[in-house]
Amino acid sequence: MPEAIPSGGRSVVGTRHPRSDAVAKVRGEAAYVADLTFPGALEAAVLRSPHPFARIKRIDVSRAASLPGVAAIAYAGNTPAIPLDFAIKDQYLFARTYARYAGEPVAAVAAHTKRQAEAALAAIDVDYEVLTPVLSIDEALAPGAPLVHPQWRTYERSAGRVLRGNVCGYNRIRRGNVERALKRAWAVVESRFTFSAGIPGYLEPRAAVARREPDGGLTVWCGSQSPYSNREELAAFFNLPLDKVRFVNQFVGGAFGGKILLAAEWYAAALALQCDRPVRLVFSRHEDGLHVFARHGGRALIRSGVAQDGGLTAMQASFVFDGGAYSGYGNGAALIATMLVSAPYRIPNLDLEATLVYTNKQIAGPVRAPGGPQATFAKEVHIDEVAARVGCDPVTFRLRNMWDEEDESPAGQRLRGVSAKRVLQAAADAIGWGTPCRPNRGRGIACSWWFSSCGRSEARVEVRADGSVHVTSGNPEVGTGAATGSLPIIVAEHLGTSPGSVFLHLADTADAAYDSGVGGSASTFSAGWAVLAAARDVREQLLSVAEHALEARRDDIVIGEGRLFVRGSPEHGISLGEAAALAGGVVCATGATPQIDDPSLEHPARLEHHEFAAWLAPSFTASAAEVQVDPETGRVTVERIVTAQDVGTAIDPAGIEGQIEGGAVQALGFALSEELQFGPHGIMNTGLGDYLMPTIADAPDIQPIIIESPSHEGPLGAKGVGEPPVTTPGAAIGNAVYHATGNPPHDVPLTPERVWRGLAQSRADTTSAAEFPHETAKTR
Amino acid sequence: MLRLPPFAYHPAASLEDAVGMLARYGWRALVVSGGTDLFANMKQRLFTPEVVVGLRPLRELSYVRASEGGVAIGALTTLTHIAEDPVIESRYPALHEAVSVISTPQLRNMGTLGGNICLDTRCNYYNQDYDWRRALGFCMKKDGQVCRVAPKSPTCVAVNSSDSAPVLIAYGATLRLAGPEGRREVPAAEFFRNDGMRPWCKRPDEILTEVRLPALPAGTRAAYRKLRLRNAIDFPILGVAVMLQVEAGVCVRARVVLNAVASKPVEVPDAAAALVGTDLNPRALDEAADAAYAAGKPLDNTSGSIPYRKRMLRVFARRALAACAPGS
Repeated sequence: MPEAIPSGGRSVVGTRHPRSDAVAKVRGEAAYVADLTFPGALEAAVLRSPHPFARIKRIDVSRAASLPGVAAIAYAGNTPAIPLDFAIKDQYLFARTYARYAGEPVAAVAAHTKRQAEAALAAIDVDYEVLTPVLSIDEALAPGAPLVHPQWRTYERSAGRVLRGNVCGYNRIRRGNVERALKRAWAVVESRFTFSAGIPGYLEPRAAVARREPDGGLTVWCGSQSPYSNREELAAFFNLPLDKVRFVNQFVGGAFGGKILLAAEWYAAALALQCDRPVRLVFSRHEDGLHVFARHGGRALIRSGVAQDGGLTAMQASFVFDGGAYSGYGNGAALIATMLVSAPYRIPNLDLEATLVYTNKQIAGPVRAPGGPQATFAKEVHIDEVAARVGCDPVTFRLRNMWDEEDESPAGQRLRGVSAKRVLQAAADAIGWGTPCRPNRGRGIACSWWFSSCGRSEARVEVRADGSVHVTSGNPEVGTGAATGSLPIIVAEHLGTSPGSVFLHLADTADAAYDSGVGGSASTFSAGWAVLAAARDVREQLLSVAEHALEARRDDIVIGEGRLFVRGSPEHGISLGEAAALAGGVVCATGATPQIDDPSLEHPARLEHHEFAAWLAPSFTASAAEVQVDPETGRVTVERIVTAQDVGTAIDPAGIEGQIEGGAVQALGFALSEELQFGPHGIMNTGLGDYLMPTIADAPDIQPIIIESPSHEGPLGAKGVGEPPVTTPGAAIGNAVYHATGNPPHDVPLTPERVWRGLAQSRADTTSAAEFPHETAKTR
Repeated sequence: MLRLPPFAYHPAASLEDAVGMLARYGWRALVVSGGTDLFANMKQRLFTPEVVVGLRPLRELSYVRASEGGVAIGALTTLTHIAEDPVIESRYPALHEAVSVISTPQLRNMGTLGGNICLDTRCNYYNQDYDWRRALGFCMKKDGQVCRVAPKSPTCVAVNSSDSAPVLIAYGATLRLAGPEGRREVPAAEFFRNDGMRPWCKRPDEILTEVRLPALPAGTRAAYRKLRLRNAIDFPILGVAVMLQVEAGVCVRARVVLNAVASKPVEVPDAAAALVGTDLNPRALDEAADAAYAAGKPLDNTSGSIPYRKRMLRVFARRALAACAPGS
């Protein structure tokens, strides 16, 4: 059951406070990794393959090593020949026999100046045999396609993981008999979608400083989402004792999933282990663009059967995601896509599959809500096409088929706290669904579900005799506001103080407050549990002190405004600091996340190769959008986005609204403009001048609506908040364009040119096909 | 981060000093005013000057001066200053529109009119990081031999991306240059050359000092329409500037100028011919837009496909024309 808030009601939880890192960031005082200075630090640079696919016949570093200022060179020849620790062991720290994408690290150099390091890179002789690259899903899956990993059969992999030539991930969920149901359906609607790859879009490029310590250890300053697990991975790889490796997280300039995996840290560490001086590696924007863990490009085919009364009877869906050169964490998007595509709709017959393929492109990674924007776009535009086929309003059609309390997920999880209809209705009402639209305007709606994650987290809360309240958590603040927003609120609620007076100590592994990191919307969920447990313990200790000091019954003591006092006589009390002094100078406690079991599945036999089918504390989100389409240019202007999100309990509503607004703008970029372009030598648009993220001038009016349906599993009833709001707005924009133009959009992003081609196509279909003779060929 | 290559910075004490330094250092020197174009390009190693001559101290070249003969704008006047100038907004609305849609407010605060006119031509294969260009084998505009867009082309086809240039040509502006041999004036229409590597007639040792806009006869209207993908930052994928003069309901003079379709702004005399002598009825505007469509020949070196940009020529020409036609 959701834990009750102490003293009856909420006084801090659910109220608005500035996050504790806001002032430092706005004033430019926050120090990011690149701002750190170390006396005598060496500067590092990374040599990267210019070829999407090449065999490396020889690497000779001797000429580079003799250049002035060069202190260390790291490459395949002098770093451990063990694969990185992923589910498929297909990747090394440096390219060894093959370079598999343009930008893959081949060597790294540390020198006294950056210029010397770059000069040394140019003097490393690499003998490449250029191979024909695999640059698309179609090329990867074609019969007789060149293999991105010719030696794939020799790779170790975790149990159940599919690996077969260029296919490096596959999962399927089946329920009922889809073939029969499709045959019997009143109508079958089929839609095909394509998605371009994108970047996480954080502003601070990856950077790290590594320093070998006199005791044989290593310290790494970084801006990571998961410094504790990064540290374990790095220590194991270089065979260092874990307790001698320290990761110190700095302010992080955005991450969005792109900073879960080690990047600059690897190369700074590999070089620092050869030197007795700190090594500093700061990626340029271009280099960060090459080293990106991208949002998956891919495609989807969805076929649904519907009865004449508007009831969905069957869905067959097939996703193929471009995983890039290495499997990494790329399979998450495929696992999530099959969980999303039929939800939150009651469909008795399902056959849902997703495939991950290797190509000679950048590695696809866990970008905010992996697979979420893509799968939600596909399924929700498809649902509107089905609704149109049965002549039903999109909102009515969704409500007709939507999950209710106690319905089951595709994998057979019995669902509780199902707020799908509530969020859908809230978004529809807010956008003015059903009221007339001017010409070339359209409204669209989309609804989906998502999970919460509970990692492992530890925290320490202490009240000192000077009255200060300190929270130590391993959770890194990467910009989401989970650590700097929610954690102080949870502590302030329990210790009767204000969030602004809580000092935060975050994500330094020397603090021994483990945290499994930011990802999967886990931060407030797992770190929140740890901080909550510690804060409750401290509260009880303070009450015990006050009991004696005030000679009052425990039940009569009130905590508030930084004091403990007797109910009804506020003058009869002591401050938190005085209580700490009475307790010997400090009152402190540690806390950790409790053991929370995954929900059970009633029909595990429906799953094939699926290890992510039981979703903890699921939440529901709906977005509605209103757009204006310029029929002559195809340009889409998004006027409004409304997102209604079930957050369980809104611990930090201001922070949640920030997540919803940020998610809407990120989804706007996904839907309309963001697209990695690959040329013969890799990514064409690594810079933010050419990779078209929305600007503030493109951002629409965004209305966040917080819906509270407390979970049974989260701290104070919370659910994961960070990822859901990026999943639905893109789909809502897609449906709004559908209704403004009459054409369901199938190729994302909806650039003006694609929308214009769609319009030209439909004009050609209805008037004269000769009007657009050559343009129509490329349109589907 | 991308770093600037090493260079010596010499702030100019006076215009004569700046001209003198250019004469002295020759090809090894470049001038900078706002730095919004030059420094970004230097970071990509598109320019590696040994000496950068700073024009920013020359505050005397920052002004908007109206007179009976027209308006004179100092080359170092910031784009923000021009965008906010009430005389420009009321008398030269197309210039107001053009400078208002350049890049971002921050860059307009730094960027100058002279810098926008002398904006380096742009291309998908040129405006790339050094390593990227090296992997491709470079192009003729910098470090290489051939054009990557049109391998058979003897000249570079990088695109003129200045929003102000087509408008200045449409208005019949004159540009003043200062060089070691004194000063000279060049009509804006003759300033630009269709060569992506040498896009101006300005000699390397000359400095653009002033833009003179002529006084416009009564009944003159002008407009600029820009196609871009976002509402900020982006260079034009296409731009159309139109200037029309109407007397007693009849168009007596017209100029239609396209940008971002060639290495120089492209004037379309056929469009003007379709308008002059008419009452600017919808058919005349359509014919002029058709002429713009026929005249623009975009290449595959900016965002957007060739067919799309070509189609949009007609749409944007028609919109700019409609904005100028009486009754609009």
